[in-house]
Amino acid sequence: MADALVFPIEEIPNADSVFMRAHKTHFRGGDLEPSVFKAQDGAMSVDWDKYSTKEETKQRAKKPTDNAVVSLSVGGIRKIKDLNVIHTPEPTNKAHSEVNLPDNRVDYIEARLRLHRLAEIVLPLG
Amino acid sequence: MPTTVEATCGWKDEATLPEIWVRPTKEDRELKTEIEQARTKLLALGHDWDGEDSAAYSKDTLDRAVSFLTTHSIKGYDLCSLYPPAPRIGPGPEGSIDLHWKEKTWELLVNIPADNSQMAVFYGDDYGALKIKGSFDPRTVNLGIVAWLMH
Repeated sequence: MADALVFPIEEIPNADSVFMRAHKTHFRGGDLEPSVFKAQDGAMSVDWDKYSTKEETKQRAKKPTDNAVVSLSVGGIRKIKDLNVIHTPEPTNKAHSEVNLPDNRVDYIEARLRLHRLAEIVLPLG
Repeated sequence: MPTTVEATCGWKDEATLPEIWVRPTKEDRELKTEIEQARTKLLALGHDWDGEDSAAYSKDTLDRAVSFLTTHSIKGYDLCSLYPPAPRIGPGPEGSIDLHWKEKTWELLVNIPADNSQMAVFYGDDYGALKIKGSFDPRTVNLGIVAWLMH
């Protein structure tokens, strides 16, 4: 049996961007809502654009046609209080990275609204 | 004398909401429509509705969000003789509900938690230096939020 792939962890430069899927439920009248930004186990999963295209990010969804893709500037994320972006590659996804979100719920809601302003839709629904 | 938010607002129950909404201003119509949409769409989302393991939404959480909205809408009217704009009601993290106002000169996000023992939290700003943030018991009227909604 082949060994699982292990990718080295790299530092993500501020000049780079990350892609994130946005489920159709988070759109209202074509506009993306801040509800799309939420942590699972304290972090939000994204794909580093060095190792993923926006189309590849979309195709990683369980149901790709239900998802759009947004892009977020890494430097922009790091300007938000307490937020960081860390490369966390997985055996099946070298691009996998995480945006750490604040534990404090008041800081968390501020971070979500600021991430919403930062997001650019790069692959619309459909 | 009305004793509940629903009675004050002229509501009896959700099934008859369209007929008994008694304040037919543009803002009220928008809020009524938004609440009806939320009852239809949010409550229909089961566990893992987005393929990302997201939680479902309970009627209890939505009821608390609606109660917060009606209470603050009425207080805004009492203070300013105007109703505040209607927010978008959306699916927040871990079964919580987001209330999002995006206006030309300000924005506000309020989160009503799924756990009714937790405080609600909010953040808003004027796209500049002026901001409002904090936590509150959603069963009470927060005058800071009312003032923000009416400014």
